[in-house]
Amino acid sequence: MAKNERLDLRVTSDQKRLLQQAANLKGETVSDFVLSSAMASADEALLDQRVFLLEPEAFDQLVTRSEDVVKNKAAIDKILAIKTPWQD
Amino acid sequence: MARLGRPEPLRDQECSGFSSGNSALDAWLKKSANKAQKLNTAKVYVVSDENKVVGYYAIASASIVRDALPTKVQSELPRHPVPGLLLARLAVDSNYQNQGIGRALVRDAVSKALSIQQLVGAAVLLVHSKDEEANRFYVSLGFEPSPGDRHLLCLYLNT
Repeated sequence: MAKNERLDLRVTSDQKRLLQQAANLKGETVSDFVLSSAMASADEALLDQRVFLLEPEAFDQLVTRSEDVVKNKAAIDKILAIKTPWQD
Repeated sequence: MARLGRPEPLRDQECSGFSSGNSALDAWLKKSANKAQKLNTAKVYVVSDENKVVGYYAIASASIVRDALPTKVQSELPRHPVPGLLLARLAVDSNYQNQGIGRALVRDAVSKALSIQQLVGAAVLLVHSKDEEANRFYVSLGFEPSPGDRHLLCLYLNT
């Protein structure tokens, strides 16, 4: 994907030196090092999320959708019909 | 095809060589999964070839909350959060991909979700997909994007 966006950071000289040293050790530019480290942390943060906030309108739509038991059962049955590569 | 055991709770199976191509998912299995299992913040199930983990998923409780602004509260009845389950992580080792193991792990998670639902109630099994490829995978299995957040995928459990 094209990198069309910019992210500017203000850091102390100590922080910059540390990032520079770490990036040098891994043979990366400071920019690549900061980005890959931050992306890994972002992945972790999203994977740990347990509470999901929805706008009132979206929440109400979800509740209404959840009550369509015929549609629900069809989707569940389709998944339960998946063949497993192990013995059940 | 390898001779795989059925999914079992993570105990002391060999995880050190696990490599799915997603470093966050690999690192979590190696560094944090045992801790989550012990602290009951999530339950981790693994499928193994011999004693070597080739795929895993983690399941946990979750909830969907109606994010109403305080100013609106007076005019609307408060709504309880929707109780749900979260398929928090799922990954298959690169050497074992494209054999249907991921799909089968989803099936295993769904059948566990239905058992949990019988015991404590849960209206939806959620997946927070991290990219378009994951999104397509779950949608192809029958999950639906939630209203308002297309990366939050839902399998509704009420039948």
